[in-house]
Amino acid sequence: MAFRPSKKRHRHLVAGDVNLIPLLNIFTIVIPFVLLTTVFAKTAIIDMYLPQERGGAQSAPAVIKIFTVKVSEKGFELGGIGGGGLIPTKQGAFDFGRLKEELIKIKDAHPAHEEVIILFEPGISYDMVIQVMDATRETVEVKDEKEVRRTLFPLVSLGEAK
Amino acid sequence: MPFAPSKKKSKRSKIVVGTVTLTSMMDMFTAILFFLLASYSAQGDILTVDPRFKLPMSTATQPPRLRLIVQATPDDIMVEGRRVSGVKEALREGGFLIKPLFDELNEQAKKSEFIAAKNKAVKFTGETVIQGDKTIPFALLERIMFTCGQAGYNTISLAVTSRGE
Repeated sequence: MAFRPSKKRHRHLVAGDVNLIPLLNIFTIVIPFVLLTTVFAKTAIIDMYLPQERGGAQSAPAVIKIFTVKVSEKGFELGGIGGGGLIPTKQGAFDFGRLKEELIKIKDAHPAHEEVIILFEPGISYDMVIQVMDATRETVEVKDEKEVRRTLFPLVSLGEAK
Repeated sequence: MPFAPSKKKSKRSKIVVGTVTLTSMMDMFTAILFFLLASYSAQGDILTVDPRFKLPMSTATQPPRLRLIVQATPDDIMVEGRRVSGVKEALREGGFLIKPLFDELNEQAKKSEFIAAKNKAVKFTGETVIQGDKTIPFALLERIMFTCGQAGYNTISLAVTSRGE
């Protein structure tokens, strides 16, 4: 014969809940306020230097080393201490991966050099200008599974490729 | 033999008191709040960007400073929000100087120098920031930069949308 159902079973245990309603009230006020005042798209600026002579590819005194990156439809052309190598476009897109490798090599060879003159063809878009400036200014390297920013050539001058 | 189930029990209406479980919602709110507070910047935004144009993305993180603003949309060139010239006219002109922009910048430089003469705390530094739409050609940017340089604004910065942390 089965046991008789226990009478205790019908006694309800009232769990002591924390009253969350006031907290909820605060949150519903604070969250919309913070949402409205948060700036998601942060603007930043890039400092730039005008080339001493327009056109950029001036005949600088032999003592001063210059480094130029020429951006044209063919791709990137590294001049001056860059050695004159061409990084051709890949299926119409600029090869930023190789540009980065080359820039690191040049920086390793000339660690004290900070200036770069970037020459653009007139039709290149402003977006592209900024991308090339970003690529030459700094790079992100992975060291010990950590991303480390490495400054390459922060003093950028712009000029027109001719 | 087991007891027969009580008849009372089956008839007893099962009223469940409806309490909404708020704990999970609280968790969510707390997470959102912390995220928003982390990305909250108390200093506000000095550069207000016109919604008509899009700044290019960049890894730059240098915060903007208060400077003379030259804006270049695909159609117009503006100084401090006031239109001075159309892009087509600017590109059609031979040479690098954009005359209307040059005049306006000279005007602004005169104003700044006038204030600087009266108030020692203010100095005319010739700093300007260019806000350009990401589609504008380099030829236009170059002309604007050249004109700024001619008008005495030699320290030029480019405004971008920071994708960095």
